[in-house]
Amino acid sequence: MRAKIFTLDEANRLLPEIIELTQHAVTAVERARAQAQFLSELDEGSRRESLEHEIDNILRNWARQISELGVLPKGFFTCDFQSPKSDTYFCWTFGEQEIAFVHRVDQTFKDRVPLEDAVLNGYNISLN
Amino acid sequence: MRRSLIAGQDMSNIEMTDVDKLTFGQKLEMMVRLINRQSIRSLLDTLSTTQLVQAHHFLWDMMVEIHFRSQEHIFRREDVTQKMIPSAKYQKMQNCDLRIDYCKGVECIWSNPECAGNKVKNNMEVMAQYIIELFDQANTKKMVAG
Repeated sequence: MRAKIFTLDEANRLLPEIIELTQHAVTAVERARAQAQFLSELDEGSRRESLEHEIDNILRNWARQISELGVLPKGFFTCDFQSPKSDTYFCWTFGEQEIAFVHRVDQTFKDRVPLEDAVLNGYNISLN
Repeated sequence: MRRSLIAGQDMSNIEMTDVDKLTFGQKLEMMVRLINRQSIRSLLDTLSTTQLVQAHHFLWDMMVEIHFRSQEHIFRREDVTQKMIPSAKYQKMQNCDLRIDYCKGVECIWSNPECAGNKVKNNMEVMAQYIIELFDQANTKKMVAG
């Protein structure tokens, strides 16, 4: 799936849907993980394996759904949006209510900087 | 197709073949193992050197992400690196007499992938343990909700 180009406004408008998808995945992972832990204490190996497979599926589905929106799934419930500036991604991670960070496309979560700092630091991005 | 790589080459500028690229499935497997509090070592042992370097970057990023969402204090790399075997000690354990910079920067990952790869894997196990501790400090749902 090709990444769409988002203005900051467009990315923020899509965010409620992304948050809902992600919340759903997070809850499902937690539930599966709790079941797997319970079963491992009971030593029910095969059932536990199937729950591990379920976690794999939840993460895979989440990534697919995010990709279908034209957004780039990254890491553990983190997404990048291609900004109008070709070398810059808007970066969002679960728990955040709006897009507040950016990083260059060859960088990652650990390199991200707040939007306002990015402008100050000469990122020179088109925010809208 | 395998590139020739020299010690000291900037790892971020490596031209990768598709075969060498860490796949989405491999990243996923790493995440699932961590969520399930399982060791990632056997998975790391299946990776090529190039994939291992990418997996290291991926795991470090994941660790920073999860720390960011779960902890109020700022992430300090020393909190993790202090749990790793110091390079000088590792070199001694390996009877290696190269300059310590080679080991510190894992410069010899391409010239001596077995030794440097082992060091990277050991360090990744420390990172994995740190991530698992973050998971254990709160349940996943509460944690990722920040």
